[in-house]
Amino acid sequence: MKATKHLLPILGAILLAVSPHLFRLPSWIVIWCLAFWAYVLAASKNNWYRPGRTMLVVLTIGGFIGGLATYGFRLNLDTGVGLLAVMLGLKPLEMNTHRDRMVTLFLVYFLVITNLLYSNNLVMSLFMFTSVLLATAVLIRINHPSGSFAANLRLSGVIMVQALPMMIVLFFLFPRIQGTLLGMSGQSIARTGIDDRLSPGSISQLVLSDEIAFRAEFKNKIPGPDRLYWRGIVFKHFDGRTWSRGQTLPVRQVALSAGSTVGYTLTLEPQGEKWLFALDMPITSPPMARMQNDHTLMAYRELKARIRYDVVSQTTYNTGDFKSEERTALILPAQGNPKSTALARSWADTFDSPEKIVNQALEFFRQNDFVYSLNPPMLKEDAIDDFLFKARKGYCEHYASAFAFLMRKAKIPARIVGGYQGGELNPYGNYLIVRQSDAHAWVEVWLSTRGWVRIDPTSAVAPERIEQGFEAALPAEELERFLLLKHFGPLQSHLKKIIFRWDAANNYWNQWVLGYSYWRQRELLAKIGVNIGSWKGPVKLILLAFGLISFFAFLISRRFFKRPDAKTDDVQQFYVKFCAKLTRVGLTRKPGQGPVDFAKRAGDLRRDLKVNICEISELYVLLRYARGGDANALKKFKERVKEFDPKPII
Amino acid sequence: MKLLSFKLFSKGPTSKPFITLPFTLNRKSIYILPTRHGWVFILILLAMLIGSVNYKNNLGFLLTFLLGGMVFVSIFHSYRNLLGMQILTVAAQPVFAGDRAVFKFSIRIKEPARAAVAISLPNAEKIVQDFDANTDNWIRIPVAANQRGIFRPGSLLIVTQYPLGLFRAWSTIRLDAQCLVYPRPLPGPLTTADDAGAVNGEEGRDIPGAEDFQGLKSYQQGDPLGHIAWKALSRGQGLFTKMFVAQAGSTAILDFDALYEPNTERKLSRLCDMILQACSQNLVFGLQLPGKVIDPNRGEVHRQKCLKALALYARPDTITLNEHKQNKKNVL
Repeated sequence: MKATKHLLPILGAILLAVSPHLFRLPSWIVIWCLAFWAYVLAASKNNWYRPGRTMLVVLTIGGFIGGLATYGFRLNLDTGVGLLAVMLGLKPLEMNTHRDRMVTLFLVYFLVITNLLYSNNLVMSLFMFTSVLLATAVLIRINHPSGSFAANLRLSGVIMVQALPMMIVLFFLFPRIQGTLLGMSGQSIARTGIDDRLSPGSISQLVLSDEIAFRAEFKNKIPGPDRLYWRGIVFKHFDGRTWSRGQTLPVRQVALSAGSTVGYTLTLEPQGEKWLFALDMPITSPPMARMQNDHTLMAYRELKARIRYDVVSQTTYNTGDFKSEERTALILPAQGNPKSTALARSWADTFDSPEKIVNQALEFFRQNDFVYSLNPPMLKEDAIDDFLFKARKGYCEHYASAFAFLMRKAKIPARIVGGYQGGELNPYGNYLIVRQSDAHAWVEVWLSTRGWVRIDPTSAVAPERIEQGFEAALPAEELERFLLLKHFGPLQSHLKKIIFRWDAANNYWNQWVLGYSYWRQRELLAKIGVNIGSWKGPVKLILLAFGLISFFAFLISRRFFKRPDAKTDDVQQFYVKFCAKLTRVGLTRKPGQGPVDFAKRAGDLRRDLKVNICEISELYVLLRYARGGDANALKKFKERVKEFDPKPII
Repeated sequence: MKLLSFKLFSKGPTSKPFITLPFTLNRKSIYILPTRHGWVFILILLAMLIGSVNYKNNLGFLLTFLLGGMVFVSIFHSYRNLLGMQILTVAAQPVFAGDRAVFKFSIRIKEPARAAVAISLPNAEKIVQDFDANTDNWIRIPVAANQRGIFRPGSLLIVTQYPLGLFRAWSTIRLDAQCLVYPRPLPGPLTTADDAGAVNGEEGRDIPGAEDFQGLKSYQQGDPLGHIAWKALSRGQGLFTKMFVAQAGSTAILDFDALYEPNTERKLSRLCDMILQACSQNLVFGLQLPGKVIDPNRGEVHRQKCLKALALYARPDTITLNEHKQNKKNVL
């Protein structure tokens, strides 16, 4: 009977904790869990058969093997979660003892944390708090079966709120590390993002993804869309079809001649790669990364978690002299693409300056009916020739690739830059949201007077792409593949507002909580004078955390443990005052003399005061010894003591 | 609060004096340590922490520290659940050896109300219950009392695992709970000192019963209420007790030395039985124990006096209840 009483709340807690997993788990495990839970629930109501120990062992072993087999006997996070779910499916079948119930709830807490390894955003954070609230309420219920569930929930909330200060202190002060602890970082999430190879189709496939790549918050005015080129990776090596990165070297100082600078903070979603994004051209590098000689930022380690970093960029710049190691920007495969080669050579012969050649190439794109499209025809061998002279339909990577090829053939150093272009302004947070669909590729050519100069051949074909994003640039029939807000007609503006507000909330949460890292901690602690690098840092950190937690503990204990008999104390205090007043006129209470005795003696000695003394003493005895008397009596007692003003006899 | 206090240097429980009632559970008397489940949960939290560090999962950190904080806060809640509980009195009615002595505690609770507090005495089932605030609660704990004499059940243990079951707050209160235990009555014939033999069944019929009214005597304190001559009283003649026939010419003396029993305890048990018989027959009887003589008399007070003498016979180590009360008064 008692077990039944606990069953429903425990099942509720499990169900909530497992809910985000339901779509990830293999369907048989979902059915397995739901079926067993439904059975247990029905069995407890109708007194049906409960499986015995042997049956449970058989089921457990069977479930485990089934689970392992489903995941191909690989031990990773997915398998772990699967097996945990299998176990939690069975656990309610044997919940007869207090121990069983406690263990089940511990598993529930564990289940909550496994969810967080799959995704962590604002929704998951809310889920986490809700789930902990419910699980704790059930835990309280187990330990206090006679209370009402509403009271359990309330207490759970109280404990949670009281735990928040400690949580915050530990969260910000607990030392973060740079690498991984156990050498594992096996987060199995496949993330979309810019690849380290650029081939036809590699960017256009990202357009289908609505995922956020990063958010950028500007300290001052946000630059115009034609300046919002987010540099990530530079492709220098071309094999006739695919561009790859080639060698880069870290540099200490970036020499850019003066221009206007812009500072901003970027919150980058994890992509599992090393490159960081920054506005053309970054001049500072955040602490977790190094500047490369191609003006990209390369992190020391792969980015498995959301990070936040500050960068300063220069939107007008001159990169200066051509460096010897940049000669690779002229190398092309000897064979292939004869038509394009001929075209480029003819430009090189005709025009006397590289600027004119660049303009001619852009003009070529503008005048030959090139189409900006997400689904270009397949390119055959000699892909550049095929694109430039036959297909003439492509996405930004096609244009960038062909343009860079033409430039190199015309003896102008050229390279492709991969990253993002543009971004959506969130008016509720004054920051830009850059999505995977903003992925872009453009070209940089080296001109003797200006250094590396950004040329975006896509803008020649579809200038709307740069000004308004890819939606504006694509033909209408291709857009039908997307679920766009446009389709919502008049609701559009309202929806947009909600989406922006939600994203702003996410952004704040990311900034303060989810994007917190070793580097942010270092920065934060440096502000309060703790240098984490030196040996003193950790000591100070521990002392600080300890001090703050003790302080909160003190606050809680003060609230809890204020003397429960404050009323009596009050009474005592006033009686002491009364005695002091009598002492002034020579009537001293002997040690150990009772209040009644004392009142009698004092009254006999000072008949003029007898009435007052007796009244006060009677009230005192009533309040203190009989523990009777209400608030009125207490009030009266205090008043009488205050009024009592014995004069010495002259 | 003593979180981890191992009593390494204490002199052992016997050397500590009894506490005096009323006793309020204070900071010095409450101990708190994780339960087994608490240790398991702390291990789970450690695993969560390692996982969060490894995966650099900030939400994982947040969850781990939230749960850690909640465990920490729960210590205060457990602690508060006991703090300020006040044990006002403890009392137990005398019982016969082999019966269960019922110790009745009165416990006063001040704000806030207490939940799921377990109260127990050694070798007794624990009582788990909630306590309302600002009322006096009565707790009855039955404990088997096997030996005659003064039964001291030992220290009162008050435990709570509320609210999360992860910490156990407890207090051991060395209060001097006592219960007078009479010898277990051993059935047999009623033997008196003067006839030195068994008052056997046949002769027993000759012993006048309570029904045989003899006359009135003036009331003495201790006379059974049922024997008061109410009619005489209503007539305004004063308070009289109806006299019934007692043993002819004399009173029964229950003599320890006159009993043919193999050992002291059996003798005491027999005497106990005989006292009960004598009382039920309303005999005037006296008791002779080596070193102690109780003059013949009858009534409830006399009965208790005799039974108590049996209970405490040759138990010099136990101070009597009265003496103890006297001591307590001196202390106060």
